[in-house]
Amino acid sequence: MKYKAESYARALVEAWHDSPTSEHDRVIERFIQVIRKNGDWNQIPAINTSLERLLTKEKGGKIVDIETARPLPTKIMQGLINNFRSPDIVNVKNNTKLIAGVRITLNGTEELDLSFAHKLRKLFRNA
Amino acid sequence: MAYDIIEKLKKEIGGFKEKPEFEHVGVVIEAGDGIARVSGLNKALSQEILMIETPKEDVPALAFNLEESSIGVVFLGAQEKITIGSRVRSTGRVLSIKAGEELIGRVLNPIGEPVDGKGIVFGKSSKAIDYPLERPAPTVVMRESVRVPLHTGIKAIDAMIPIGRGQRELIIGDRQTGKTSIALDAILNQKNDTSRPLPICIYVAVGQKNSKIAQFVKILEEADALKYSIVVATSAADPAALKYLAPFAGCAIGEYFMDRGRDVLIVYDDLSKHAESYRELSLLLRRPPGREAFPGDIFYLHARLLERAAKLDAAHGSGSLTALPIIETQLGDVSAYIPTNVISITDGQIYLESNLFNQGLRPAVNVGLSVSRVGSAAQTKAMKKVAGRLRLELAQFRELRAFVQFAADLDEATKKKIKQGELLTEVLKQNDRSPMPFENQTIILYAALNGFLNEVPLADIKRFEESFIDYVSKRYDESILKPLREKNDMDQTVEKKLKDVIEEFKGIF
Repeated sequence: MKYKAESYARALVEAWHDSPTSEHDRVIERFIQVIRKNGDWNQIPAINTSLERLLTKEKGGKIVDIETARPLPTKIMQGLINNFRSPDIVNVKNNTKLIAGVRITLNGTEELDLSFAHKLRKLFRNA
Repeated sequence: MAYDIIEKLKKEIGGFKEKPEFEHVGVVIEAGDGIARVSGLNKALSQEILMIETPKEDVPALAFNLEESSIGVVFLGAQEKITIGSRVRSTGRVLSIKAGEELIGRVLNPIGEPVDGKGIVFGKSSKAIDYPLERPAPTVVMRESVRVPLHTGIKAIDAMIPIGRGQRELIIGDRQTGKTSIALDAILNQKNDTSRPLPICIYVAVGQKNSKIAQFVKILEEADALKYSIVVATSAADPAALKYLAPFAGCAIGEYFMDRGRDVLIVYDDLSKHAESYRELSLLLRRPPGREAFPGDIFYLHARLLERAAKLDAAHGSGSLTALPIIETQLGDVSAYIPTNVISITDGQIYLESNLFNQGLRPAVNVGLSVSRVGSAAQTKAMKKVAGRLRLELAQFRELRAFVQFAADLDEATKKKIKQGELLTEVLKQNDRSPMPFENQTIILYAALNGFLNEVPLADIKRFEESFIDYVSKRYDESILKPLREKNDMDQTVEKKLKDVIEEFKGIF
């Protein structure tokens, strides 16, 4: 791994902003060539995630990860998602380790953990 | 019984109140070899305790490297269950250790957990408080000069390389030269120094063998020294993070007592292993290596630790923290990187040589290379009077001894000097774990330096010394030893009495 995924993402965003609109396709082409040349092709998913975070942050949005212990009914899930607006990006996934409840993480740094597993941990580990 | 347990559980769960709130979290993205990289937690403090969630328990870790996109952490607990993706929570607490009177007599690890099997240290009603492991050293205006002696009970040191309370005196030498023995004797001797406040003694074992630590504790226990001592222990098998933190933990405990006006003696055994642990952590966390692969701030590591040893002025409680750091050299090389660093930080060094040890001169102190920068300011008047000439006599003896190897005929004056030097060398020999109160040292050195032992054969010097001290302590404690102990000075009355007693004893020896 020659460079970290965040470094690639930051470089692409800077190149995108520094070049005129007519050159944007060329920028992407050259970016792909650099990744291939450095042998970091398998980092594409990680670079993609980093790009998503960077661009969302630039626009003032948040990356929201909603984890539920089991699939919620569509109505309830939609209600949760409607708390966020564009340019926020909302990812929903199941995590049975939560046992019950929901955990919401913002930008991978702040978390509101309303899961049963969290309550148990607080009750028995911190008592 | 099962019904009782269920009822208790129900009560506990019923009484559980939790207020949902946002917490700062991160995720482990890389882990191994005692360190991990955590993404997120962009508001983490340096040296903050973080908790890594694992299925079995929460593992504490220390935020060591704060970088732009991740944090380098070192584990402070069992790391086997930590995986990529483990959640990491911020605690908001900077690394600290609980300090209180209950620590005295206990053996614990750098995060404050007892390892002596005697149960928990602090009960619910304890008045212990958290002391941060990293704390700024006392400022210049908070200090006063070092004046009160800290007697080690070793004649060669108390006479020629005197240590004061608040000083930093390095003990340096190759492996198996008696470095730890000197520190142990210093701790054991503190109960013999009855005319000064008893200091709290803290022994910090950094990466030592478990057998050595166990033996050390046993010796303290048998000598009744554990009642004023604390041991902070990390064995060779402990993670590098704990070895790195051990001296700081010991220092924090020492500062607790110093801030309350007590005198404290702390031994760091040894800082060479401490430097190696720090190098290991720094290399794992990809900090740029410098000379001998040590990180660039290796000097700062020891400087900030040793600067916390001080003698505080009356306005700040008059407490003191005396540090005896130990450094192990390789093949007597005191000009290596870490030894020269620590020599330049401390207020003197006690240099132990393998050659002297192998020749039977124990403690194997090289008096020529050893120094105490505080000097006689930290010596009692009695010792100053008696031992003033000792260093000079020994220096002259060393010069003449080399000369003797090349010359056959010597004049009387030279022969006398050599004989006197041999006598003094014999007097300065001392078994380990036999610290001598300073008043006993004073009388024996007085006898040796004033020619009273010239007729005693070298082979009988040890026996003479033991018998003489026994004789004086049984018959003349009130008239000789007690005045020395209480006034710290040898006035003319005591001196005359001492001369008479020496002659009296020589007659019956």
